[in-house]
Amino acid sequence: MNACILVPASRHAPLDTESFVRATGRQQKAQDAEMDDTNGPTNGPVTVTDSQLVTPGEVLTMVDNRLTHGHCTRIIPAYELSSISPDVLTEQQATPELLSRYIRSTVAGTVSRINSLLTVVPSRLPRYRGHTGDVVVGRIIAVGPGPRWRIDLNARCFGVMRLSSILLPDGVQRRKSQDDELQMRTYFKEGDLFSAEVQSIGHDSMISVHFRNNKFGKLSHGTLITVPPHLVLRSIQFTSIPSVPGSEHNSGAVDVILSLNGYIWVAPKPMEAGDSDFSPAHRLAAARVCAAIRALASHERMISNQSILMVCEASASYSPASLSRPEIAAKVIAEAIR
Amino acid sequence: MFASREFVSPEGLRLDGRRVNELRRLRVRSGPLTDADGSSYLELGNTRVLVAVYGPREVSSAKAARQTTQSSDRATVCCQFSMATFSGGERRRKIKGDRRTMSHASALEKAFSSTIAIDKIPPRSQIDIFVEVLQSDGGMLVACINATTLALIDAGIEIRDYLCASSSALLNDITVIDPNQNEEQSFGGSPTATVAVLPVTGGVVYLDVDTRLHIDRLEELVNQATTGALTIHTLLEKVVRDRTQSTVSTTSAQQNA
Amino acid sequence: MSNTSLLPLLSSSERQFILQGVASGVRSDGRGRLDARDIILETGLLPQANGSARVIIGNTDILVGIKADLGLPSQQNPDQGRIHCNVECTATVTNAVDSRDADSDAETLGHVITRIFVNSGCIDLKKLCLIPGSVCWNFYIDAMILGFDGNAADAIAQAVRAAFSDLRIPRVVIDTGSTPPTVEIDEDLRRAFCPVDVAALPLSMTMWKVGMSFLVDPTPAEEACASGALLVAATATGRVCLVQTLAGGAAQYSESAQATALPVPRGESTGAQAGAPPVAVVSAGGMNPHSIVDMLSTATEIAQSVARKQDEALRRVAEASTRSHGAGKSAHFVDQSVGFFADSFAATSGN
Repeated sequence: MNACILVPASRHAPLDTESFVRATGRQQKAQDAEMDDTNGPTNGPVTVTDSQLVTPGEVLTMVDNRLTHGHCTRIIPAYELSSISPDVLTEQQATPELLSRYIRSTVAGTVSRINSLLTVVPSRLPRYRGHTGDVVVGRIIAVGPGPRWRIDLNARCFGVMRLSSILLPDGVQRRKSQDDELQMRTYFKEGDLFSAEVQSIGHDSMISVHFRNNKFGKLSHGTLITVPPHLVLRSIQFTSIPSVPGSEHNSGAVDVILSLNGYIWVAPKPMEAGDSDFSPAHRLAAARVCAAIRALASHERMISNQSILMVCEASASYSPASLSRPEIAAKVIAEAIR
Repeated sequence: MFASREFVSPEGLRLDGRRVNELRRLRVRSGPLTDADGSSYLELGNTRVLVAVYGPREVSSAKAARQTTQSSDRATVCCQFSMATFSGGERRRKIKGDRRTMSHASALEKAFSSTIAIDKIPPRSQIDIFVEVLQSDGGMLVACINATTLALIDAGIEIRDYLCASSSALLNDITVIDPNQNEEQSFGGSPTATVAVLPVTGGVVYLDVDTRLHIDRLEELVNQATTGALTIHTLLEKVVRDRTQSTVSTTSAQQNA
Repeated sequence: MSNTSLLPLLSSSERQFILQGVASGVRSDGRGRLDARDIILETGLLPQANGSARVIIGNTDILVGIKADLGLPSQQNPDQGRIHCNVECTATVTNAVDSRDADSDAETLGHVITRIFVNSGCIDLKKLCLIPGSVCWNFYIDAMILGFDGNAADAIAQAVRAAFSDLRIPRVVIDTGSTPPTVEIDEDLRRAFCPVDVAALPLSMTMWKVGMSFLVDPTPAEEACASGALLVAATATGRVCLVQTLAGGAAQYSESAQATALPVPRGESTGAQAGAPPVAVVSAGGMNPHSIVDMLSTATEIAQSVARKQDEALRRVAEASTRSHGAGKSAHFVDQSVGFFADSFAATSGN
C-alpha cells in the first residue's frame, strides 16, 4: 500500500526520546522563529547572513528579483507540494504558492552572499566540481574515440583531454596531424598520470583540461594520494620541499603537486632529469611527506605547503610508517597546529 | 508464542521499558567509511545499518546499454540492499536478488529518487546507494532510510529535504511507536506502518502498512509514525549541524588565514 | 586479492617506482619490506551472533560473525561437528555494477579460510558432535569485507581467530537415557563457554612477491605490482597448517601464472613439523622454488609473533569490556577498539 498522501501531524504530541542526540532548546527556538515568519506574505522574509550554517531544506530567504540563487540552493516548485498542504511547521494552512517562494538550501554547508548571488558552499565535497584555471592531476582511462583521451579527475564524471590541448614530447608547438592521432597511445596511454590545467567545464559538468605550458605534463616516479578536494588550500599548487624536516640531511628534495581535485602527487626530485634511482633516505623523505598529507586529510585539516611542513617538523621524532598510527597522528597534528 | 504476555502493561510500559510513544535509542555516526563519497552508520535500538553512497558519477557502461534514450538524460538512483547473514535471530542463507531484498532496494530507490534534487545532478550520471543491514531488530527499513539520508548529506549530494522515517504498530488495540522485532511479529504479525516524510514540506514519500487494517485505525497508526519521523528529523538535523560546524571551523579558519 | 577490479590502475612509471622502492627496502609509505601496518581489533560487536570480531588494517575493514546452531552431522563424518565458512565483499567495496569479479575473489578467500581453520585440523570437530549420527554443532563463519586496502586474506584470518575467541555457545545436557537421545540447551547464558582452544588456532601471513623481493601486508598499489604471493598459515607454537600460492595483480603483466596446489607425499621435508597435515608446495610460476623454503620459515615466524600479539590484545579487550560493561562484552562498532602492533621483523629474519 504505497501512497503519497498527506497526513496532518501534530508537532506538539508528547514524545520522549532517550537518544544519543537530544534536541536542544535552541533548535526549538529556531523552529519557532521560522513558524512566525511563515504566517503570511505580510511578514518579512527569513534571511540568512553570510557564512551562516545551513542544512538541507532550510529556508535561506524569500524569492527576490534582485537575488539570483546559485549552487546548492533550490526553490521548491509548487507542483511538488500537495494541493492543499497544511504547513507542517506552523499547523496553519499555507498554500503551495507561499511555500514555493522560499529559496532553500540543498546541502549542509555555509551560505555565501556575494553581491546578488546567493549560494551555499557545501562543507564536504568528496568529488571535484571543477573551476577554470585550476591545477589538477588526472589519470588516463581510455584513449579515444577520436583525438581525445578520457580522463579520471576525481570528479562527478570523466573529463576529457583533447589531442590539440597537449604539448608534444618534443616540445614543438604545432598543429596535430593525422599521424599524431594514430600515435596517441605513444603520448599517453591507459593508466598514465599527468598534471594539467582546467580549460573549461561543459554544461553537463564535463571538465576539459589542457597543458598551458611545459610545467604541466606526464608524471613519473612518485606516489599519488587521494584526499577530499575541499581540503586542498587554494594558493600555491606546485611546490617543492628542498629538505623535508625530520629526514636525513641532504636526502633530497621532494616535489608536491597540491592539485585542487584531490589527487595529490608526491615525488622525490631526481638529481638529474630522467633519473629514476633514489636513495633510501630520499624515499623516506618522500614517504614522510605522504604520511603528513594522509594525517592532515584524516583529521580534516587543510593541506598546503605550510601545513605539510609543520606536520613534518612535528613528526620528526617518529618514522614515517608509524605516522599512520591514529594516536601518533593525532599527537603530531595537535602539535603542528599550535 | 507470546499471546499470553502483555505487550503493554497497564501502566503504559512496553516489554523493553519504553512508553508507547517513545522511540528507541538512536546513535549515528557520519562518515565511518573513508572510501565512500558519503557514508553513515546508524543504530536504532538493536537495529544497525551501514550505508555507503557514491556519486554523482558516470553511469557504468553496462547500465548505459540498458537505458532507453528517453530516460538517458536524467540522472539515475541505484540502490543495492543486503542483509548480513548474521543479522537476524537465525542465520540467513544469503540469497542475492531474492524478492524481499529486491523490493526493499526498489523502495529505497524510489523514495530517494524523490528526495534527491534530480534536476541538479548532471545528466547521464548515477548515484549509488549501498545499504548493509548488520543487525535487524525491527524497523529495518526505517533505519535504512534515515541512515541513507545522512549518508547523502555526508556526500554533499543535493537533496530537497531530509527524508526521515519511523514506524508504528497496533498491538492488540494500542498504537505503539517504533516497534522492535518482537512487537512487529507479535500476534502473528501486528499491523505495522512505516512512514517516510520530507519534514519541511510535510510530504509523505513512502508509506507502507503491511497487514489488513480497518480504515479507522489507519489514520492513527500513520499519524504516530509520522510524528516519530518528525522527531527523528530534529535529531538528525542536530547531528548534521554539529558535524558541519566542526568541519567548517577547522577548514575555513585555515582558508582565511 | 588477485582480481584487478579492486586494485588501482597504475602507470608504468608508478609501477617502476614501487618496484624500485621495494627493492631498496623503503616502500612508498616508508615501511620496510617486513613491516606490517597496525592492526585494530574489536570483539563482541554483534550481540545476535555467538561470536564476532572486527579487524582493521589501514582501510581494510573485516567484520566476522560466528553463529552456532544444532544440526545433523554429515554422512561422511557422522561423529564430527560442521563448520561452514563464507566470505563476502560488501557492495560498498566493489562499488561497481558488475560484482561478479569480486564475488569470485570472495569465493577464493572463503576456500582459503576453510582450509586454514577447518581442513587443517586445528579445531577438534569430534568435540563438536553431541550425538553421533544425530546431533552436532554447526558453526557458520561469515566474514564481510567492509573496506579493502590490501592484505584481505590475512585480515580475514585474524578476524576469524579473534571471533573464535569471542565465541560462546550454551552448555547442553544430553539425555542418553531416552530413546532417541535428546539434547537440551542450558538457557543460562552465564554458563556459556568457548568450545575452541583459541591458542591453537592459526593465523595467516601472506608473503607477496614484488619484483625480486618479498613483502608483507601490501597496499592495493603494491598488490597491483605483485606477481604472486605465498600464504602461510601457522599457529602461535609454529605449527604450519597451510601453504598456498595466490595470484598477484601483475599476473596479467608477466608470465607468472596462477598456480594450483599439488599434494606432496608425507615425509618430504619442507620445514613443517612432524604430524602436520600434508603441505602443498608448488613450483610456483615466478617464484624460485629454493627461496620458498626460506620464505616459509620467515612467514611462520611472523605469523607466530602476530598470533601471540593478538592473544595479548584479546586479553586486553576482554578485560576492558568486563570493567566497563559488566555483563557481556560490547566494544562499540564506532568508538572503542584496541590496537596492537606488528613490529618490524627485519632483525629476526635478516631479509
